[in-house]
Amino acid sequence: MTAPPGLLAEFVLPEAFAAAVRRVRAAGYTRLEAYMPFAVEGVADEIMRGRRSPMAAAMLIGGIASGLGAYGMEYYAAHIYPLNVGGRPLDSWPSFVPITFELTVLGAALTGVFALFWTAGFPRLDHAIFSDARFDRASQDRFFLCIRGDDPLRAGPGARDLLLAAGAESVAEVAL
Amino acid sequence: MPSLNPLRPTDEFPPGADRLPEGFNRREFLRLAGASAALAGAAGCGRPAKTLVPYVTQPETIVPGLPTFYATAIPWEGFARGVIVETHEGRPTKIEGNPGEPESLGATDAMTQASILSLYDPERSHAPLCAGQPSSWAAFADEWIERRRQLSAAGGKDWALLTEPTTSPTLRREIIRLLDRFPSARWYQHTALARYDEDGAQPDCEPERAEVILAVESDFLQRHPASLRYARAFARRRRVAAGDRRPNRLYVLESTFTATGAMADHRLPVSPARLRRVLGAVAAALGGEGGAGGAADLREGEGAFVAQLAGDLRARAPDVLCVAGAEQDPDVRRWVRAMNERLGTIGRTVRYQAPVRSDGDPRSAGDLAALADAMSRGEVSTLAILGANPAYTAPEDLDFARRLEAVPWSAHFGRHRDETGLRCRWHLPESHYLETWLDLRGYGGEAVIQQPLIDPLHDTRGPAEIVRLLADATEASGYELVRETWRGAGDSAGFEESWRRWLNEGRVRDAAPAVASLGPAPAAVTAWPSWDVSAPLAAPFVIFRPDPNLGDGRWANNAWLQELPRPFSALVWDNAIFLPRGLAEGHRLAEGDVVVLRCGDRSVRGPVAIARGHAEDCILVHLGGGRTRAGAVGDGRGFDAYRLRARGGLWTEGGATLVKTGAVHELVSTQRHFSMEGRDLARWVPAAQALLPRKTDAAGSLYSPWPRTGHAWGMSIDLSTCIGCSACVSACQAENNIPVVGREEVARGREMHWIRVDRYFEGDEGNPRTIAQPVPCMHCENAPCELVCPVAATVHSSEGLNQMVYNRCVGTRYCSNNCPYKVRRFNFFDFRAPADSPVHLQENPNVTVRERGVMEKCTYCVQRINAGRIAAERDGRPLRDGDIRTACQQVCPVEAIVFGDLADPESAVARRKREPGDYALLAELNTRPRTTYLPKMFNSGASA
Amino acid sequence: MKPSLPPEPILDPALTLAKVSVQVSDVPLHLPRPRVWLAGFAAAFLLVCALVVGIANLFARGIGIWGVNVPIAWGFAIVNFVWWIGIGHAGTFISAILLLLHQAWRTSINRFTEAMTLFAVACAGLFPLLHLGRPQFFYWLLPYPDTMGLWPQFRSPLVWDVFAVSTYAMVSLVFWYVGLLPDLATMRDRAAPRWKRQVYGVLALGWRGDARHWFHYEKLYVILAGLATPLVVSVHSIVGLDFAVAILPGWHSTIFPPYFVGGAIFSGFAMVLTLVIPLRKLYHLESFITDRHLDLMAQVMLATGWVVAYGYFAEFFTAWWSRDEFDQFVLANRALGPYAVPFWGMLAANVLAPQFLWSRRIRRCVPALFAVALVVNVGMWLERYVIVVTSLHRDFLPSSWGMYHATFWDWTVFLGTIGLFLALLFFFVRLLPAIAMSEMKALVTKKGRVA
Repeated sequence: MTAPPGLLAEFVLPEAFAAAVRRVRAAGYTRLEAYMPFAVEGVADEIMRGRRSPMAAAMLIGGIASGLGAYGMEYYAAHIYPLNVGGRPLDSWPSFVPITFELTVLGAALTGVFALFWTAGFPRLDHAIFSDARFDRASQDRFFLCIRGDDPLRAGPGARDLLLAAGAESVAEVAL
Repeated sequence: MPSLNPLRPTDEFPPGADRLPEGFNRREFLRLAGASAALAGAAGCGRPAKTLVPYVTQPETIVPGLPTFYATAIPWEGFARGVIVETHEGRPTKIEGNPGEPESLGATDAMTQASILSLYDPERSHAPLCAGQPSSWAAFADEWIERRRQLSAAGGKDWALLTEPTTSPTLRREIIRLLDRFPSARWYQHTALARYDEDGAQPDCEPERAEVILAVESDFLQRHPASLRYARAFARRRRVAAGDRRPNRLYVLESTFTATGAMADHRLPVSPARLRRVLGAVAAALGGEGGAGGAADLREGEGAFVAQLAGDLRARAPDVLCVAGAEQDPDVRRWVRAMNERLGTIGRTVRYQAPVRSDGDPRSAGDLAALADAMSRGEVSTLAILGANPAYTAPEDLDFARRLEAVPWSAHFGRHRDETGLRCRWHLPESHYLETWLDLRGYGGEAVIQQPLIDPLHDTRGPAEIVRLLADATEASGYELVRETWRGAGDSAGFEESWRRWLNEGRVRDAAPAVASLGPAPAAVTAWPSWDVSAPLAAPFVIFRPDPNLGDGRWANNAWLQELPRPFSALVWDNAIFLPRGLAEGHRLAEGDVVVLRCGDRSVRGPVAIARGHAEDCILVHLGGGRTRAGAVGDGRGFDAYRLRARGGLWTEGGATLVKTGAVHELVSTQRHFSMEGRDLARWVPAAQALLPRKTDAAGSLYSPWPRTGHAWGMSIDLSTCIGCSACVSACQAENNIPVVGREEVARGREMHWIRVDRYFEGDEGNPRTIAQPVPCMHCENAPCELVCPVAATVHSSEGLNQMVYNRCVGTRYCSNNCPYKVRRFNFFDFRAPADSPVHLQENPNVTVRERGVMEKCTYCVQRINAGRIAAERDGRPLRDGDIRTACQQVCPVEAIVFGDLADPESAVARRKREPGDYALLAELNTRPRTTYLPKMFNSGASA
Repeated sequence: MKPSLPPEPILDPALTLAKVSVQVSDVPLHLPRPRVWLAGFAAAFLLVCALVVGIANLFARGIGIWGVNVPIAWGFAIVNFVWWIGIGHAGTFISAILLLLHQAWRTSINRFTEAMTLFAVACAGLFPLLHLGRPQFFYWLLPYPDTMGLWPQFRSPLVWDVFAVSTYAMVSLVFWYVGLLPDLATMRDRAAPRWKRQVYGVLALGWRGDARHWFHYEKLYVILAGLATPLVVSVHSIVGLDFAVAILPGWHSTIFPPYFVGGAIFSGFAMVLTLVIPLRKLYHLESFITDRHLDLMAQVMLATGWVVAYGYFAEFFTAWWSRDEFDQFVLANRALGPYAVPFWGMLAANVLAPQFLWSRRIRRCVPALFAVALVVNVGMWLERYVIVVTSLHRDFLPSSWGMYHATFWDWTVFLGTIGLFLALLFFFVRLLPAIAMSEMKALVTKKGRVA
């Protein structure tokens, strides 16, 4: 049997939207999606159910790796082709610090961006949600809450009423 | 560069290119092929057809890539200076002094170094010209035969021959021979510069023997035929060696600064008006009756000078020496001779010998003035001018150029179709001295066979050949003429053997009788000159001197000499009217103001430069500027001071006037600031303290020093002996293919010299103390330049060289910014000569020619280090101290520069650096320079 | 993050979510006053042509066409490089440091200043390449394994520069682009023509405003800000080290890194003001960039101006205190030597002029503020000129002293880069939202809540 379509509810006020998200989740719905033009406080955490973001860890590892790589490169370069430069020792470590630092930052930043793309699945230009005519405003001044079709409680009655009751402008089905 | 014009297509195969030397073989072929393929105009290169005798290596052993050396001589105002010329596959590339030859002793001067460039001057005359139209020697011969017939009818009447005074036995013999053939022909001699004989005698001295030296307007350390010998001897008395010194004391009376004056312990600037007064006072103080006045009416500066001088002379006589400048009036030179007589120095420190040069030759009809008079009397219908350029160098009032044009038939033999050649019917190209068979005598009288290094590049002849051609209207080879002269000398049996040795050693040791000293001179000569001190010339005075680099102007088309900084002013590509500040301010003149300088009805127009150390009211102008027919390099550089000269006052003129024109001409110098600002850069030390241990300026370092492996190259420069002659700069330029950048680029601060001679003045601007400091790369052990190079293009060698890797350089110029000595030079443009320029023939094949956008600097002549190393390895022996000598060291007449291996405690440089005074420039920066200095020792007696 | 709200509203209270989207995105979508834009862009483009000619001539004839020489081997190129890099510091400072400091007002200007940063760094990046004697080999400064086993000489501050500047450029770009993502989505959704939707759509990478996106996005954004903060400080410190590492009197000074950073932010804010004041006038963005914004930026200028002034003072103090004859001479020579005019001009522009900003009236008087900003821009350029030229032209050996005179081609390339900078800004305004809409919306709603 195929899952029923998801329900997409449109909200006007961020506060109402945030309240609705909490209310729907309280009602036991688990497969929810929220769309908003800016990060309304609390909503994301509500949806992620307090999961932690891998971002910080990823960037830390990326930064350290690239920093070590940088110093390694400088040390290697100084020793593979040993030159007397102004009478300075081969590993003039103080001179190697700036580049090590710069590359640490660079490594961390790039790791972070790729981590975002990975977690958010970018680039993904097409998505079922875009088929909804109202969705254009999700990036402007409207807030959307979606109960996915594969939510166990979706089959049951009351999902639409719940959303309306939570203050949705309008509710429509969407292929999710 | 102007000097580097591409050749005209017609030059591509100059006459002679197709002529193969006798004994043609594979090597000849390779060389010819290589040379002609390589560069236009070079196809004539080759060892001359006659049998040369190489200096060290037999020709048979010539290996491509290994240089061969030949001994010959360069004429310095006609006097021989022995040189050894380096040739690579037949092309001369570098000139060194001949250690075995008494006038050189292994050293040379800047002009000699640069003369190699003139050999390849693209603007040299290539073939005879008749009335400006290309012609040939054959055509000349035909015309001459006809003319000669008419002349010989009258015994050569109305025929005048004008040459420069010469020391060449062969040339002189040929001239006499010609005069014998044509009894009525007249021989005139012309030099724009000084005569070195006086009253039929030529003074020669031994400065080393003198405890006290008085130089009267004499630059015997730099501007004298024997200056190399004199400077070497003088320097021996000025340096601290082996922890000891025996300094002489030098007194100098001069109106304008000279290298000699700069070395003086006591220098008194005197105007011509005061000179005789001071000399009179000196004589009087020594109890001589010389001159009126005595100690009376001396100014207090003069009084003190005279008092101490007289005291020293009296105390040290006869081990003293008085020398007079050859430019001085006869009475001044007589005064000096009389003084030498009184002090008993004759035969000890000075001797008067028979003149070596032909100025006073009894067969000579006189000088240029005499010729001009003869011309004005219409007694010259045929005029042959050999070498000289009177149309340019004649005193203005002779009006020679116009008279020359009026001569019915005239021929000019010279290297360029210069101002004179332009006005003669015939211009016949003369060979460069490196292309010529001749013989010359040094100032001391010893002869040198001048053997050519290369077949004439163009269809040229040597002077002896030309005179023979005039005499007999037949071609003769210079080689035969010279041998003819010398076959007489020595035992003709062993002639071939001794001839070979003469060439080999570059000196005619045995055969040539050294010029005999004359007996006691007639009393008239040694009597005190009587002069009238009360009637001085009218101030201000114009002092004429030859240009320090261009001489009488003959080197004007030599770009190296044009760009070589003039002493004291660092002026390049120009000459100036040098005024003392007082005089300039009196006329409201500032540096660069263009003025009209007038003497009587003669005047010149030139820029003003403020000079230090001039006597009041003395205006110095240098001859040799303002050429109009020198060539693209030399034309219009500066003004022509000859136009201010009158036959009456060749060296000094009174009553000059200065008129400001309002125009301004930017004078370009390589050094713009001459004060040390109280910094400890070039050190002085009184002789009394010269042996005190120096205060150590060794700084600590956080880094452990790099391990030394093998040799440790280093250099020591002795400021005590450096006379600031700039020969090192010129030698470096010749050795290291250093480009010329031109006046505009120097003005922008882009000169390329790898070694420079800094000049500092201290104290009263009217009579300052001055010091010259040669500054090459210091080869710092903690080199600041290396640290900041982003691509490791400049790094240290295991032997301590600060190496510049041209191929790796990207040209950030950070190294130059971080070099406290500012010895690095950058190729802001492509300064290389056009690919087809013949000057490439001069380039040292062992030194990279640098491209645009790379940094360069002194390498301690690394190519010579490697050559020495290879030679030692080939011979299976260790490198000996002295095997490797840098170009600047080798050329230095006073041995101020010593280079060698610091790892060898017995090497000359290591010993030098153990001298008490040894110090590093800017030691407080802890750059640890490998080049260090010895302070300038002065022996004024004041602080002693 | 809770922005600590300043007493006075930083935005026009009448703003709503819808208004934000419309007003901001309308500028690129259907450009108001196209003539003004066109005129401005044409002017900038002319200068870009000059730049092209200047560079062509430089490559054809060599570095000699500039005024540099020995001893002054660095001239306009390095002066301009440092000047541009400095300007490039305001952007990241505003978006990163002020973000961490919870300065809500930054939201109105961070997008624009980040763009400015990128373009300034682009201009700066040109000069180190152009000033090489052999620019074709610039890549020898990059670390890559070559057949000779040669590497850059990592002790050289110039190599540090390569890494610092390129890192700064890349991180700024990333920071800027990540910040743009939600707004690109807005543009995608507001653009009418299909092709525009597609272009913006591709750039938006499929941003849906999904809560999951926001979840990671905000983490990333804060951490990036955290990274960018020390980066900002490090970059101009390293530029300062270009000079401080040298042994040259007038360069060799430990004060340089902090003093350069202060100067960078100082000049950066001056440039922001110089650009923002006409911008907001032109596109009626006063409701977003209020007088209060200008006021606050003026205050930052005043503060950093004092950092710079302290730097000047410290240089003289250390020279006097060290008793080093060379240092003392260089400083005296700056004040009294042949380059005294730029020196005193610098003091007047960077120390005197900012003092007017003590007065609230002047901070609130837009023309006056604009004037001060302009003066400071010039002053900071003069500062770099003084540091580079006067230190080099008279160093240790008086025999080697020289003078520096900029040539026509020096000026051509300098003005050319100004043209390039402006041209890029015009493109930016024309194509992308100059104000961070999503952040602005967050701010608007919060304002709504408290108000």
